[in-house]
Amino acid sequence: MACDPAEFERFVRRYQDMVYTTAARLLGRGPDAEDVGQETFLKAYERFDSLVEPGAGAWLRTTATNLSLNHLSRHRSRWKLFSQLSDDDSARIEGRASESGPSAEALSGAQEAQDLQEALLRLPDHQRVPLVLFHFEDMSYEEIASRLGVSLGKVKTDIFRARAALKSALGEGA
Amino acid sequence: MTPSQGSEDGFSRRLKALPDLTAPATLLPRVLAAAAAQQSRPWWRKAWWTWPLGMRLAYAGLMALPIVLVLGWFLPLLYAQVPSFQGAGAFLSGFGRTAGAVGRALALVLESFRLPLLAAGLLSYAAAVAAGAAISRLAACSGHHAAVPIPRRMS
Repeated sequence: MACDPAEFERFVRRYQDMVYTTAARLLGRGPDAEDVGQETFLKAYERFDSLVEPGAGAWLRTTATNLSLNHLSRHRSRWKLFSQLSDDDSARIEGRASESGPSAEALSGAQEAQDLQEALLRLPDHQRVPLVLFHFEDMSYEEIASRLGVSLGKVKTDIFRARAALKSALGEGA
Repeated sequence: MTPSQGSEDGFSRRLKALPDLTAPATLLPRVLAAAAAQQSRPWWRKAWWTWPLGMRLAYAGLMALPIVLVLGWFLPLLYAQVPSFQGAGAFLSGFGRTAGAVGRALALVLESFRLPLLAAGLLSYAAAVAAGAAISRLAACSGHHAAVPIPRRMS
């Protein structure tokens, strides 16, 4: 396991944005995502000799996703709290995602991507997590329901509402 | 493809095209400090699969020893003592006969092998303890970095 520190530092520099992004999209931008990023790279460090390009990136991404989901499971009470909000509460929170959304005409492509990114990170946990698993991790509705321990119907509803909130944030309407 | 599917696919492409976020500047130093702390640990406090090969083999052998002893020493003794256990045909001649043989064997074992049974029990207990230690170590190594004083969020 005694790897070259400089080589490991290059490795971390190369993948840190991807690992952090994977965690932040599931956990929200903040200290939790950074903690998962650190844990992911430490796992990589333990098996650094066997991690070879180009599979290392995929391994890191899968590990960061699994650790993020484990983190969500450990904080299940918070997750349930969000999941059990009433529809009115959900609508109010979804509104946050579309706050101050500029009109589509005014947006350049980069600005639109930036706004979409920000709106995604502002989504409530119970919408953002299934949306990210569906669109970024290519998991099926059934897999997401199983992984999160919620009903299939709830997964579909949350993803639908999350999409609607994001489109609303971009001024595209639901 | 339905219009809604096309719209969904288009939205999915837009999401996947989003650029990565920029990792906080504190992440790299945190990772390097944690890796350095991990590197400085003695080998027995690291993950089992990173142990020296000889140690891994010795540990695996130690864990397997009770099982080998039970299978290689105790069972042949039992086999020799119970005639109906001799030959595979005994097991094929009917459930009742086999069950009767097992019952007789258990009675015989209780009468004749109190000491070996005690030894086997102790060995099994040792095997369970060893397995528990291994599982605990594997579990700990997946999260042991959290137990060391690692600089966190240096900002």
